[in-house]
Amino acid sequence: MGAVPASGRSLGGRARPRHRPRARTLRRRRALIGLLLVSPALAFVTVFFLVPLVLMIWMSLHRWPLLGHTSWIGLGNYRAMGSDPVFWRSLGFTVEYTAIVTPILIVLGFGLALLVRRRRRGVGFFRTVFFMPYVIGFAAASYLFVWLLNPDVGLLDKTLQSLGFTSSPVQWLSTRTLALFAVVLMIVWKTVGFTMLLFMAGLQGIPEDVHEAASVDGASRWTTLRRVTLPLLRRTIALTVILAVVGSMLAFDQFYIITNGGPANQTLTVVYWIYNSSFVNFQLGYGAAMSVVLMLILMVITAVQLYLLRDQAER
Amino acid sequence: MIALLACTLAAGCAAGGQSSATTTLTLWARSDESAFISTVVKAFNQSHSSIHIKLTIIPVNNFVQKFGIAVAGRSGPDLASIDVAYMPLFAESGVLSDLTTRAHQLSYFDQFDRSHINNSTYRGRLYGLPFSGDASVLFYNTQLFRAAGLNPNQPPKTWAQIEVDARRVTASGNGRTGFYFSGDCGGCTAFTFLPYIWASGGNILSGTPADQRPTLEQPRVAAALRFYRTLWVHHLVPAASQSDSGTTQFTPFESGKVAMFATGGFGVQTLQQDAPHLQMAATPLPGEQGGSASFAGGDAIAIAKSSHHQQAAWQFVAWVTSAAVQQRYFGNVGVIPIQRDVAFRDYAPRNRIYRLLANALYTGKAVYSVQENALINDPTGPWVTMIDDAVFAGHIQSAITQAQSSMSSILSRG
Repeated sequence: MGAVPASGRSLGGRARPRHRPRARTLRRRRALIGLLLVSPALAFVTVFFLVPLVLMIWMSLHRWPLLGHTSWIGLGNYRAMGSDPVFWRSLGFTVEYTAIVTPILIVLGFGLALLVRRRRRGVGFFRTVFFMPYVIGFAAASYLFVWLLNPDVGLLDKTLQSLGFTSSPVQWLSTRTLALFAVVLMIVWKTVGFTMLLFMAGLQGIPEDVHEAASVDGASRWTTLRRVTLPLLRRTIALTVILAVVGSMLAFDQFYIITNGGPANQTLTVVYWIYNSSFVNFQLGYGAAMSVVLMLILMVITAVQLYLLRDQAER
Repeated sequence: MIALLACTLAAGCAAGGQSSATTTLTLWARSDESAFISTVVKAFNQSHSSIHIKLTIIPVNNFVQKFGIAVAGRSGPDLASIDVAYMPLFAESGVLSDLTTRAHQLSYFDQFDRSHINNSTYRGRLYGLPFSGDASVLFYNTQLFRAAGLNPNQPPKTWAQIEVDARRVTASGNGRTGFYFSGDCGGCTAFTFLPYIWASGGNILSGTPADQRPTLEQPRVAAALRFYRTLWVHHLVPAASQSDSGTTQFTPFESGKVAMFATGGFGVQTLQQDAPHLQMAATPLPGEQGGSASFAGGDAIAIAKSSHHQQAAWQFVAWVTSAAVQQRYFGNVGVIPIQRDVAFRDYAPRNRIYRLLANALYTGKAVYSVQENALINDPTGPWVTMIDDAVFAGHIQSAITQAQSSMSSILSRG
């Protein structure tokens, strides 16, 4: 973008012939250098995104077993999705999970950011504590919770019992609600620190004088938060919402490890079902078709979010 | 690249083998077989100086996945002991060696269990030989039968009789219940519930392997589900059944509080080990109005096409399927031998349960589908979901309709 002079656009086509030849070669050279500079990124995107994407779409149009021969079935895999109750149930569950996790992450992350925003004694400790879980992997965190939730040896049940809240171990993974609760607890504990960090950065980007002006005008803290801080955080909110939604819609590790999709597949996410179809049932073509559909769904959701959360100036 | 790597590794193996004149073969087996398979392998290694078998036990729930992915990357074992239910999948996919010609040269080929041979055959070619046999029958606690005033020598012969007997036992009090099954386990219910449908003249699949259709809307399927539903709503089955994914399937029957429980040969070993004082007998799984059926299970032994030691691997296959080995290392430890003569001459006469199991295997049938795992065993699949919705929630018709459509979807896609 920077390589194209702004005047070239505003003058329109008629202005072009009046450019001197030297300026044109200079412009072409700058464009070439620009292309050269972005080419590593372009190559990266091509090799690691476009090629796999095209391959995935190609696979989705085939009966593509992990072993044996592939055969063209056109849109057969997409049609099969219509009568696959597991796909629809898992999609419904994933949306529900996303709808639960996203608001918790945003509200809690924002709250924590407000708490630890200012420099005071001990704030560094709390920032570290809140952010620390984010740096361990999903798998490790999930196994940690598997242990914590274990009815026989887990810490959680032992604590609840010694405090007198329960008389027998809670079977955390025995019902859908409890299993979902356990996973949400783990995810919030693990990722809220990152949301907090994004909000802290956003809050630090708001000039102090805006707040001062608000208080001079007699705005209460609540009004300042609602009318000044939140609107100025629009970009940060957009970023955190999109990250939380996309992350939750693609949830896999935590359910694979903690609930195993159970009880009775009631906590099966879409990605979990794509994994099972591809690598347990060996129906790679069907897994690819579901991945394509999930990608389209995410594209639509993200586009809608970007539209709703766009800056005032862009409206 | 994986193939290249596997070749280099295999070449390295072969070179190492030449120096000591011993060929090392790898054999993968599922964990269900750990009780007897290491003895089999040890016996082979001791009697064969030029071949050494290295055994790897794979957790049963991961076997198909691990083996499938390994052979797809050409890094699988030379030999595999594969659940016959999964043989159509691997036979169709072309990763196993065609054993047809060599198998027919075996003098005892006609002795093999037909259901096993059928499941290892794809388009007329044979990709595995029977390895170990198993079959489902209905076990019952004779002590509980007597305590409930039932004659232990007259086991139930119809569904109605099962229900009546279950009611009598449950009514005899002391926390006793009449019947048990693992409600959340596809493999278990295929093994122990499907025979009720078969014995009544129904089936769940029809058509050729390449063009298969589910037939769940047959009246016999609904009738069998209604039969289990009745047992469940009248509390003739312990509540644990609903969430039992197979891991704790023996516990209720072992506790001596449950009168009837269907399982197979591997179950006998477990029960005798865990509850040696349990007084039990067995009877065939009956049809609605009589008759009987059983699921002929067990494993096939197959050679991976990618193995560089086809000859040596075949030596193991021929040895392990021979009469002497089947008698000594299978029949003697309670596994049903897969040669008919051995099964009926040496194994069956030992006791009534063994005789019944041998009969059940050689008259039994199995599910033949390249998508067996997705249709039946997958805990998220249509079979498990149907049983859950129909038996425990009571929505029999809608459960069948949904499973029918879901199975059609699985068979149509790839």
